[in-house]
Amino acid sequence: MSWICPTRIDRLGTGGVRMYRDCEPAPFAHEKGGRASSRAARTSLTHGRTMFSRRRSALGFDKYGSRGRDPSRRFGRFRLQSAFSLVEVLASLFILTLSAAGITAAWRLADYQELLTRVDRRAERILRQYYELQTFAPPDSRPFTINASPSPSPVTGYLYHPRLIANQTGTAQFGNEIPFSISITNGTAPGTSQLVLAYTIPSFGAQASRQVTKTVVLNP
Amino acid sequence: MLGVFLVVGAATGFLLTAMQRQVAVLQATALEAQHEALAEIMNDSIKSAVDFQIYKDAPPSSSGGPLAPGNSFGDWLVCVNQNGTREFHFDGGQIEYQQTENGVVQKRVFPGAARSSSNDQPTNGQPIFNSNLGVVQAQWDVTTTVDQVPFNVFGVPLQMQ
Repeated sequence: MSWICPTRIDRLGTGGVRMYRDCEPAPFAHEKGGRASSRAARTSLTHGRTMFSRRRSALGFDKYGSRGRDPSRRFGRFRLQSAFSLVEVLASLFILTLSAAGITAAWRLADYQELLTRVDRRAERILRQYYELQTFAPPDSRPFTINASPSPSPVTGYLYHPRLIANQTGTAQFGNEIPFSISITNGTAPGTSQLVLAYTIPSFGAQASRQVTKTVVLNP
Repeated sequence: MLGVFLVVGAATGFLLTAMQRQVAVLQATALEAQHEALAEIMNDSIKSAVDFQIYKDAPPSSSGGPLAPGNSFGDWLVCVNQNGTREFHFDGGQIEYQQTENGVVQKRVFPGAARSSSNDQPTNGQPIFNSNLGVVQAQWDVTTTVDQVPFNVFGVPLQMQ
C-alpha cells in the first residue's frame, strides 16, 4: 500500500543516516542505539520503569511528567492515524460521486412526480371551469358551439409556468410549459357531447412522453 | 478519516439542498391548494347567490336589505345566499374571505395573490372581479416559490341561469 506522507531523514549519532517516512512512529530514545538505554531495557528491575517511560513518551510527556516540545515525540503515535492512502482517497471520491448521483436522481424523480400531481389537478380544475362556462354561460358567451360547422377551434394554454432563473428569456419571469388544448366532440345523440382536455406529459429518463386525456360529458 | 469527513460533509450538503428544495415545493403545493379551496368557495358562493354585487371600493353596509348598486368590475365581491353573506376582497397581496352567518363572522386570508397577468404584458391595476359576457368572473395569479399558478373562476348566479 502506498502512503501519502513525506519522507524524513534523520542523522544518527554514529555518523550514519536513517531514512523513514514521517507517518511512521518516531523511535524512542532507547531505540536509537544508546548503550545505557539498551542495558536499562534489559534489566528486569528497571523493565517496568522503562515501559512506563515508553508510554509516557508515546503520550508526549517527558520524564518530568510535562509535555515536551519535540513534535515527533508528541505526535509520533498519532501520525499513523492522520495519514490516508491513495486507495482511501479514490474510494471516498467514488462514494461521493455515487452519493451525488443517487441524491440528484432521487431529487429529480420526486420533482417529476410532484409536477405530475400538480399538473393533473390543474387540468381537472381547468376542465371544470370550462364545463361551468359551457353549461351555464349565456349562449353567445360559451367557448364552444355544439354541432357547429366547421367545428370550433380548440382552446389552448399552458399548465405549468415555472419561475425562470435570472430572466432566461427576455423580461418574462415565468415560462410556459406543458401545453394543453380543450376541444368539444359532438355526439349524435343529445347529451353525448363532451369536452376533451388533452396535454402531454414530458419524458423523464426512460419514460417516454405520453398524452393524457380528460373528458367530461356536457348536459344537454 | 479526512475522506470520510469529505463524503459525509458533501452528502449532508446535498441532502440539505434537496430538503430545502422539497420544502419549497411543499410550500408551493400548499399555497396552490389553499387558493384552490378559495376558488371552490368563490364558485359555490356565486352559483348559490340570490343577490350579488361587485364593488370598486369597500361596499356600504346593507344592514339586511338588498345590496347597494355596484360596478361591472372591482376588487370587492359580495354574494348573499340563503345561509348568509360572503364577501371577498383583494387588497393587492392577498384575498380576504369573510363569511357572515347568523351574526357569526368568520374570516380567512389567502396570501400570495396577485392581479392576473400574461407573461409579456403585466396588467396595470386590472381588478380581479368582473361580470364580462354576462358571467361573474374572478381571475388572479398565485406566485409560489416554484412557479406561477393562474386561477380563473366562472360562475353564473341562480337568478341568471
